[in-house]
Amino acid sequence: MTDNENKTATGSDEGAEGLQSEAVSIGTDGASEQSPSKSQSNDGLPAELLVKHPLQSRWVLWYLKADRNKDWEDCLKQVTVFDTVEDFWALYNHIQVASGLNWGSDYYLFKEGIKPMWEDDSNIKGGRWLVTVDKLKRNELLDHYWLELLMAIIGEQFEEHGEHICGAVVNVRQKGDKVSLWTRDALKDDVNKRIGQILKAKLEIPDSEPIRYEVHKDSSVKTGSMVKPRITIPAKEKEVAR
Amino acid sequence: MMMTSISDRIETAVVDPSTAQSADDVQLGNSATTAGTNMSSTTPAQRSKPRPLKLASNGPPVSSFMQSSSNNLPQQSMTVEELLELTHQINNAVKAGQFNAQLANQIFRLCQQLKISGECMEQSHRNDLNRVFVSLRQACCRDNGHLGTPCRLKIMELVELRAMGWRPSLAHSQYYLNRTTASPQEYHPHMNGQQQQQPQLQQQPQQYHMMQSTPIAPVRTQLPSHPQQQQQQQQQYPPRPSQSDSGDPAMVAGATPVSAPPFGAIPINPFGAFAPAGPPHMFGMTNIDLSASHPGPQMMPAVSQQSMAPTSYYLIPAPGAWPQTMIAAGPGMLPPPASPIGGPPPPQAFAGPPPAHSVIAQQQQPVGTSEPEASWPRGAVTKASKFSKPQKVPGKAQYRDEITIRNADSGKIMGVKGRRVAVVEELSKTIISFQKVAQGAKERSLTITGNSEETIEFAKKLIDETIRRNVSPNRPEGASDDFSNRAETRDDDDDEDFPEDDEGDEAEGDMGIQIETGEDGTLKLSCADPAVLQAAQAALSQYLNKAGQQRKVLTPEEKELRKERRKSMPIRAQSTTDSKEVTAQGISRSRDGQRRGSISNGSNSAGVNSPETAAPLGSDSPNWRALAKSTPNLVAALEPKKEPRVTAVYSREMLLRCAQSPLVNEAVPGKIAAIAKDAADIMRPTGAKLGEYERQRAAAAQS
Repeated sequence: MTDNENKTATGSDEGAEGLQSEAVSIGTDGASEQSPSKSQSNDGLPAELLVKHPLQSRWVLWYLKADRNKDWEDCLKQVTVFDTVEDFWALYNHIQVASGLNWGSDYYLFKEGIKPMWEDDSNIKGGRWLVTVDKLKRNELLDHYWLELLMAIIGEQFEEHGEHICGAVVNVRQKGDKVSLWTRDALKDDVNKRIGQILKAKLEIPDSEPIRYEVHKDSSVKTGSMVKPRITIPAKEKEVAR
Repeated sequence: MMMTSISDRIETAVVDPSTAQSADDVQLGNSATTAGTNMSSTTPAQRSKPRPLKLASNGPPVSSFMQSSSNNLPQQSMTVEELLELTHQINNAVKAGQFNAQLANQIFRLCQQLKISGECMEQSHRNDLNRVFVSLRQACCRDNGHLGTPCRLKIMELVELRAMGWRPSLAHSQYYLNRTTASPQEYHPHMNGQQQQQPQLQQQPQQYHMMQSTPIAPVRTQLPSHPQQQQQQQQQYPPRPSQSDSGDPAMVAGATPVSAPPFGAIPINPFGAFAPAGPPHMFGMTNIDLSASHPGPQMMPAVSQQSMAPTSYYLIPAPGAWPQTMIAAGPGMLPPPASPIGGPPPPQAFAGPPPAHSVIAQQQQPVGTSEPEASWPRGAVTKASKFSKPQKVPGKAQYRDEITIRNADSGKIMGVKGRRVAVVEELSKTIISFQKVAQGAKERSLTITGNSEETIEFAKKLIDETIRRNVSPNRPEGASDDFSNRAETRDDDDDEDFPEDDEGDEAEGDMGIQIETGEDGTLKLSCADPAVLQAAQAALSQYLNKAGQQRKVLTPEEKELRKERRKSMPIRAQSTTDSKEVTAQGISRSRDGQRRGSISNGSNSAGVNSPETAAPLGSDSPNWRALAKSTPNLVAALEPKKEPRVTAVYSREMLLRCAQSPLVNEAVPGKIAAIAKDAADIMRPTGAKLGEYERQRAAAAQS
């Protein structure tokens, strides 16, 4: 290696330099991406980017790999835990986007200590805001929804209701992907409604695609058929069933 | 018969004419609290308890107290009006800082009366009760020992009694009884007949003598020249209800120091005020019965007792933690013989002309400087020093300084039942006196007296910190993390047995907002009251926008002062947003933060708002000022809520900026590797080109 460099160096100073710098930028892709951000930070906010930013909660990413031969719970894998913004991005950057997962797979991002299942104490009385992703718009919406949702929850953007949020789920399904936000208490309509409004705003969901809040208990009882939503945004006269 | 004769003698010998009026109170104190027996140590003849106690042992506690004390009291029980008047007097006396025998008398009387009518009063005149209890508490805090231990015990008992809903419990009674019976034993060694031959000696502990030997109290003749005898005596006059005859020798004769008294509220640390070194007698001074009742060296141990090493002193425990009190004992701890400050300054009603202590007493009174410096700009915590540095007290090895706080913060620094200030006093080895102010006063000055400028500066720092955080200072050896702090605070609140709405400053302090900056730099505001939180939020945003502007009006002198104070105070005096320190590490870190920040270098608001100066406090902390500026959601997040506990709120934009941080690429390589191993199918195939899509998307979304 060194020999090599030395040779080129001795061979041609100019050329060597050119080679070297090229090699650097190729070798660590990250570095090439860093440099713009660095320079940006020089005239902007350097200090801000020099530290890790702790999150309000520690979050656990789960991954469910579809496997019909296994129990649902066995398919569930805890991927990693993070508690800073930077670690979140590191993780996010290294894993598949939602649209890159196989059919039937799920991601779950839940607060540490809460299992991504109805049965967990934090979820048993809870429910979820369900956002269905139009199959036709999957490419442009799914990853967008998922990332926006992740940022919203880890950034504690749900005003004072952060406590009520348990986690977020993305289900990758052929029949239609779903993104949902799980909250702790299905009976707190005011809280959930506010959360829903924020969610809708963050994900830029048009009024033409209502989102609905479903109680986990209802979902677990009524298998197969549509669950009657407890709340719908925007509110609808008739039951939403699609 | 023996008793009668002796008691006669004692009456003549000991009872001071001036105490005629106080005798009953005193006696009450004796029978009801433990203090009584302490005094026995001073006068052998008074060793045994007065007869009324025996009566007390037969009847229900409360009524028997009354009986026993009714002998001398004109009234068996006061009318409500009289009682109210009494509480009024006490309030006034405490406000005026007149911690004299008269106040002690009044407190005794109050205690006596409340034992009967406390429950009624609670219902009919709750507010008056609250008020007087606040006064009692303050008396405990501010008094420098003039009230005397018995009185403090009385207050303690009263407080506990009220906490128990005026229903005395056996355990409660027993505690005080134990103290009564145990303490004299500790002092036996000091006693011998000499005292009788040296009446002048009694001047010092006179207060106690008086209490012990009320005229009506028949006292046994025998000198306790032998341990057994002593037990006998105690058996003969068994404490109270249930222990009637056994007298529990173990307890009675247990000469080892009793467990710490629940004196969370008493400012310990007469230290600073008196002399640099000798702890023992100083402890005796403000504190508890034990050393206080040392008559002096003349009382050499005549009786060999377990506790040959005579002195024990108590350090007042941390709030909520009194069982962990330290007890130190040792022969070396004997109070210096002739030291006038060794004993409790005798209340005058009891003792007649006060000896030298009164000088000291005056020293410790708040120095009247009610002149608030109106021009002083104030932040959330107001501080001003009257002097550029602590002033030496003429003729004393003491320094004194004065600071001004907002009156509304008084409660924050006093703490529940004066605990906080007691802790501050203890930690800083100073004495802190609160200036008396009218109810609606805006400011209040505190006088800090201590041995050295350093102690005073330290006290200032602690005060500032305490007010800022609204949490008691950490003890060095104590819990040092946020959580325990919080717990402590909660303790404080829980201990609040009665509402304090009467004294605004106190109440306000205790319901205050907690602002904590963790070592990681996170800022937490929490408060039970949304309104308060809102106010805090407003203050915070105001600070973030305008911090430092006020300082323009500082005079050069004041600037100098600030600079100087800053040296010893890592925390900025004015802001509520600054970090609070938990560990020493935290302190230095925060200090650094300050230096870097706008504060110490005098670059005012600009400094705060400019990202460059707003360097993070910790290596991995978010920069809160920058954050606040760049994060619209911060304000929303700080809005009051039911359970306000807001930390890291990151706007989408902030998150996206962080995504470009170089740190992202360094983060958790181990974790990523683990993921690659465990869940290979979710790894992106092209590790290097991560997030490209999202970033483009984000950029698009942003624009």
